[in-house]
Amino acid sequence: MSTKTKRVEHQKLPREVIRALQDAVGPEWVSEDRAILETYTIFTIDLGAYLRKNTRDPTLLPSCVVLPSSTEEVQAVVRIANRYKVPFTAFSNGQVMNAPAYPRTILIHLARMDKILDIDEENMSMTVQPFVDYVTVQAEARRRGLWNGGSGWHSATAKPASQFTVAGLWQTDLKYQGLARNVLGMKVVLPTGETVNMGSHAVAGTGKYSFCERFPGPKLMGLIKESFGTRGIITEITLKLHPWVGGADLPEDVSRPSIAHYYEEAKQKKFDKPPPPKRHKIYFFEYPDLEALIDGLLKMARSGIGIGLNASGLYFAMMCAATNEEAEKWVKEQFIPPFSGYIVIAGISCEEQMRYEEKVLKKILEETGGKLLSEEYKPEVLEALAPWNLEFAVNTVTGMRTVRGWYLATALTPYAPFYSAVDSRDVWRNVMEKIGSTHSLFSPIGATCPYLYIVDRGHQIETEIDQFPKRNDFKQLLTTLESFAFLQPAFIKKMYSGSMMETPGEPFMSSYPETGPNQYLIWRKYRKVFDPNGLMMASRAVLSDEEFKKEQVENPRGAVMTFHKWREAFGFIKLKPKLDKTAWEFYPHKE
Amino acid sequence: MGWIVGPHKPLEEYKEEVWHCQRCNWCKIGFGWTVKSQKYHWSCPSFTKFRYDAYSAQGRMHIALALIEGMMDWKDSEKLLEIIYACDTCGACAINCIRIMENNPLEVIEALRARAVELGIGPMPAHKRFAENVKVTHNVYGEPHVDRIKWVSDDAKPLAKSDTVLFMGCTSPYRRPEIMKATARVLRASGIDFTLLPDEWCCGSPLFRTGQLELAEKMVQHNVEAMKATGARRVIFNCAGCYKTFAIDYPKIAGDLNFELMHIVELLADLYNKGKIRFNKLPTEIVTYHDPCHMGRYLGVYDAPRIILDAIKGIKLVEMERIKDQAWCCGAGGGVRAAFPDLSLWTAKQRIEEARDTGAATIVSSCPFCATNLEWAIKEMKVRMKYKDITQIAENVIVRL
Amino acid sequence: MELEEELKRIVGSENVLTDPQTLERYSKDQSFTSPCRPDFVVYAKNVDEVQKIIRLANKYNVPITPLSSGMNFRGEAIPSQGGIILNLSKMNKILEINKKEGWVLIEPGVTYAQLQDELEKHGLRVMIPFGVHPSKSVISSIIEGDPSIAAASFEYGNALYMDLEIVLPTGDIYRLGKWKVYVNGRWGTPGGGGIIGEKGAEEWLWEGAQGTLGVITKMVVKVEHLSNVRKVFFITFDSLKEFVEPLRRIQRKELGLDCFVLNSFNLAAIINDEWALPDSLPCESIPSAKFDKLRKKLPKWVLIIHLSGLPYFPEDKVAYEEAELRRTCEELNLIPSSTVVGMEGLQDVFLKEIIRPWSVLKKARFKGAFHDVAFYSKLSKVYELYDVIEEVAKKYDYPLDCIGAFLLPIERARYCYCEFDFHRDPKDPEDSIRVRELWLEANEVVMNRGALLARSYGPLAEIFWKRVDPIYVEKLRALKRELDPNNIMNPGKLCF
Repeated sequence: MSTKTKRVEHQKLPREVIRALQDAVGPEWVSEDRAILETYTIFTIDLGAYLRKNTRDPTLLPSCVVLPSSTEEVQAVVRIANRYKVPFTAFSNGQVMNAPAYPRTILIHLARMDKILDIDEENMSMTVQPFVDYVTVQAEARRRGLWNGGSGWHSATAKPASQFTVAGLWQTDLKYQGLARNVLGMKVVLPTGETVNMGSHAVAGTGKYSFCERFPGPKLMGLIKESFGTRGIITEITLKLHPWVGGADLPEDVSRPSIAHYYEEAKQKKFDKPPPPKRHKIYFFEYPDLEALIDGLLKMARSGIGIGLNASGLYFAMMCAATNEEAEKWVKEQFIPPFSGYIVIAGISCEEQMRYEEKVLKKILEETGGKLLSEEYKPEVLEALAPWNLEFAVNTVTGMRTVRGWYLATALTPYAPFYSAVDSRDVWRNVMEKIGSTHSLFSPIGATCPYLYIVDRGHQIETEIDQFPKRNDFKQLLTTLESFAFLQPAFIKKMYSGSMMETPGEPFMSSYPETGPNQYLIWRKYRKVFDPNGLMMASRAVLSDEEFKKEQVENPRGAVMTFHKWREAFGFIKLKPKLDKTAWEFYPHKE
Repeated sequence: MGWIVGPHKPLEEYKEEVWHCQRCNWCKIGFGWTVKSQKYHWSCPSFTKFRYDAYSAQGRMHIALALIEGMMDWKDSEKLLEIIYACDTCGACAINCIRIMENNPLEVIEALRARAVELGIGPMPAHKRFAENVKVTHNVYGEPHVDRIKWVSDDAKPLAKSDTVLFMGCTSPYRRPEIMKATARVLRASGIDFTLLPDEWCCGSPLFRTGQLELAEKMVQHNVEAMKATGARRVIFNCAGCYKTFAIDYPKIAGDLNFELMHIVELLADLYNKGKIRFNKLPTEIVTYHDPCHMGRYLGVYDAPRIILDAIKGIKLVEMERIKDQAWCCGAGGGVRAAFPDLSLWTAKQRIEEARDTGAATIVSSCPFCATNLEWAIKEMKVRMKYKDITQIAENVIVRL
Repeated sequence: MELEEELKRIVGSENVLTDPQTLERYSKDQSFTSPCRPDFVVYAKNVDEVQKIIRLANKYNVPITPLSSGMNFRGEAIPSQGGIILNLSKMNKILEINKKEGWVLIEPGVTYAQLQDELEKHGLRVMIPFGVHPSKSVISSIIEGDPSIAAASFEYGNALYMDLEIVLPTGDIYRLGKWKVYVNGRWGTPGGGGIIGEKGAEEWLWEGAQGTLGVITKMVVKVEHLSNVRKVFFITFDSLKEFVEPLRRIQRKELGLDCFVLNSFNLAAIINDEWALPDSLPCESIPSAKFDKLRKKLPKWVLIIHLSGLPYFPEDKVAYEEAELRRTCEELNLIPSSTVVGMEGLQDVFLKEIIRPWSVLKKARFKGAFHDVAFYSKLSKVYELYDVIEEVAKKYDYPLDCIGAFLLPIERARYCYCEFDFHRDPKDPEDSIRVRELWLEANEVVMNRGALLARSYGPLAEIFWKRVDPIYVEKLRALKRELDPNNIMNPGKLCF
């Protein structure tokens, strides 16, 4: 990696495009300034973008940034992009799936659209604009005896509207099942510039906002979910809320830190020790090994108790330690038991519910060989885990500390039966052997015990294992990329649908016809319908016929070659393109 | 990371830190556990006002990254100077960033400013003006140096000699003499003898915060010498900015200071806790307390002012939503009041609205610069709200025991 | 005929029916959907046959209407352009039961009765919609969005399926969920990938699609613990308006699993043992003095709430919920009772009914056919909408005490599913015309007042889809063109 300086310059758009944008949103809300553009080139867990940053890829810089303030302005901007055939990307937090993929991209930053449009206590719903975050949603909902059941992992600063197009995992998935299950409707500006309501309010006369996600016909919202910001910009989203008994305000921490004395205060444990909200309690438990932990978790989940259940093991070291040094120490010494997890119990019905659920929990622990952390057993660990008293309720705040250690999510086995946790761990160990991914103290975490999210009353589990490459270490980033390329076939070989949120985007999508199968061909149809001009970073989700021809068949990039190399290594069939080179010859159940 | 408040380093030496900014976005909104409403969930005045990411700590970190790595040059941007200076250095970004990322964007922002000054590009014209003032008259306002002690009166008189020095700063004596007097009276009433530096210069805070380090160093050297000459054992401040500068910036240049530093509110709270003073009753007044950034979030002095307010019967404290480490800035600091009056006033207005939402009739704080800015907002908003410094509340009711 | 020959070659000649009586039977049901005779009724026995049939239909450009069970009564399986009825009822295997993780893998011909009978042996239950026929296809019912009787519970009564296997209109297989992987001749195993959090939700495209975008040939359905400690409570009201606040309060405390409201008509139908469940609709009407007596005796409105234990300490669970229910009712001056009007045995009736909630279909015996106005609405609007329906009924001289009512709070009363029935004598043409017009007008009127229709079958399709955002419709049509280029899958339905 060259250390010589090399300026990165953005490509300018024709003046008439800029003028049109200025007319649409006002000149102060359009910027081509180099410094302003620079601040839209780094994204929290976007490996591809970091690689491009390190190689000073100029296409990573947008050509201009536009800040619209309303659905109409978003629509106007998108129409301009279509008129002049300029690619565009929507942007909220910039954590993942925001990087411009093409030169001359208009970056539409939704930072001005931060209003709560409606709170309907009867319908238990809240309609918000795209720059409203989970912290805000929770605060306003709590004041009304409601909450939305969780915050997006990564983090409470996440915007539900944006997260809907990429992810939606919550700490309280046990009961609330994450974002897809908690949206009633939305308004979307499509990549063509058309605006459409999705939800009950798609039907004239049913109200301004959706009150009901059920629909007597196909639900287009399903195609916005996990579309990676390629099928439209959500300008309004109606979230479900649920009863909340924990009080309008969260309890105060014992003390507040300060900038100058942070380290001393951290050493003295002066903060990060809030009590849980009323009528809520969090229980931490440990098991001797992964198999026993899974057994216990499954029983707890299927027993019907709790609102959140996850196994976090050594990840807690990152999240709960006030300093990285302390976190590393905890990991090294396994101060946080590696096979540990927690359950959050809430007395939504009444206080008695909490006593009942605690009784059940203790019984299950007894049956499955788990131990409850308590005043009598590892109280020092319990004290260390105190931040989690509030993290489940408005997460992820200190949970974001994983990024302190260079967290970059690598693999999530999509929703699967519980034994997938063991498979995850085994696959991860393989990665570390094959790729030699040991560039961080935390890499071994997944090989000990992946992070386990228990979802949907124990019907499913999702596991996560991560890498932690330094963002300015190109070699580490490349190793991480290779591990991605390795993980995808590794999981598919074990008959999981992939290693990243089930629908992984490109170049995985077109490299693995095994999933779907031929899911990439269906996704191309969605692309044709939603973004016929291919302007909204469409190739991020799926390659078009022409792009496939170029990138998979005729002139594949280095990264794509790596994916195919691992395909071969895992014994998948050698992919042969069809005559017209726009698809693979791949026929499940061929006659 | 290992550093939180380190020595002033050249910009390049923040390379690891700027790469470490991975856009968690906690520099823009309040720490999640403390947010109580949508209206008051923002924490960064400049991002909240301008909405481009460049105006957040994250944006400035990434601009610094590009400059350090040579991906961008200073002259590539017309907005660069405005971006790096339209920040009141309140530290709302820093406290969250430290707590979550162990990173301190504030130091990077100040390093950007120092580099801008070195290159002759910065600071903003208004900052150059007050630097000139400091050079000539040793105060930011360009007022006659001798007038620094014009506020002194019989009932607010320092001694010729004492091992306790009351450091006046610039704003109190030149712009808020009533606060200066109240401070002196409170000290007298508490039985605390104090003196003044015979030749006090500006603490240097406005210079530090705007990257004018060379001149700032001269302030440090002068004041430290003057302090030593008085044989000071203890230095009392009534300005949060001066207090923080002495506590944090001075040791970076002058090494360990051999005198104790404290703010007047800390002294009073300590005396109260030790049973050496008490307070008489006041007519009922609902107040809310504004934590000055430099003393609150930066140095962690949260409890002392609240102990005092709690001790005065009749004073009913109703807290704002954003308090202590999460306090919203008054908008004056970091050179913003001088160079970006619109931003400064807008920020202060947000704070006054937040104060009014508590139902309080009075907003109380313990920094004359906060006083100036918040009172400006009250005046512009034409609302019925008073501003009082804690010393002004305490001065008439303090009783020595 | 070539097509017929090829069909017989695929499924066997005994599975291709063309006799007029059969075709007549499939051309209509009790609904007001215009009758339309298919040209073939073809029984497929496995996915391979389904694929082949669909490919054949493409070759000959012949429409296909999929049908998973014989008991439909809203017009959902009546073709609009003839063609092939693809009958999946012989694909009726329960392929796997995973008790540990709480799911079953089934084929489209598996019925609710069949499934629940099997599950009960394992101490499990599937959440069944109130008022479905026991022979209704589980897959068909779920994918078409029939709300389950447990819909009041956010987590147990909604989002009831996980993995799907779809045969697309091109004949290709598409799978969603954990098992979507096909590697070197081997398919993945099911058990994950439902509508939850982080993953995509493509399957929503096939919900309510009436088979227009493909045929569901397998589904993983969630199943839950069936406790042996359960209690049913009844709370009575004189008017619909009165139940809103009590229901809201009870639901906000997340008390109970299943919860619904019946009026005296429907409750009487359930209790009336002079009526047998019809095997098909329309059915023979049976005059019943007992029914008339019951209708008058029973309270006008009854809220029914079912408390169910969990796997551990079920008595404790039911006990604390009961205590809290009583406390909540006391605040509202209500008393939850274990029966109504002192009727004996009602507790047992409903303990059974909740698990197999089809007795209410006996209501069809009143006149022989019924037509529901089914919609979703916010809770506070329900009684307004009911008033408006009554106004329409009066306009057509329809007796108000012959309107059946069923109300189902969904997700702790976030909103409500409402079903109001009008009954008619199918042998009386004048009555049929009158009820048809009444029914259509009632549907329009509730839509005018902001309700969301629950289904858009038959004549409702036109009046519903004309109100839908034209861009939404355009995109659906574009997707249909992409997925079904020859427009062979149930053409003419929905907005297609």
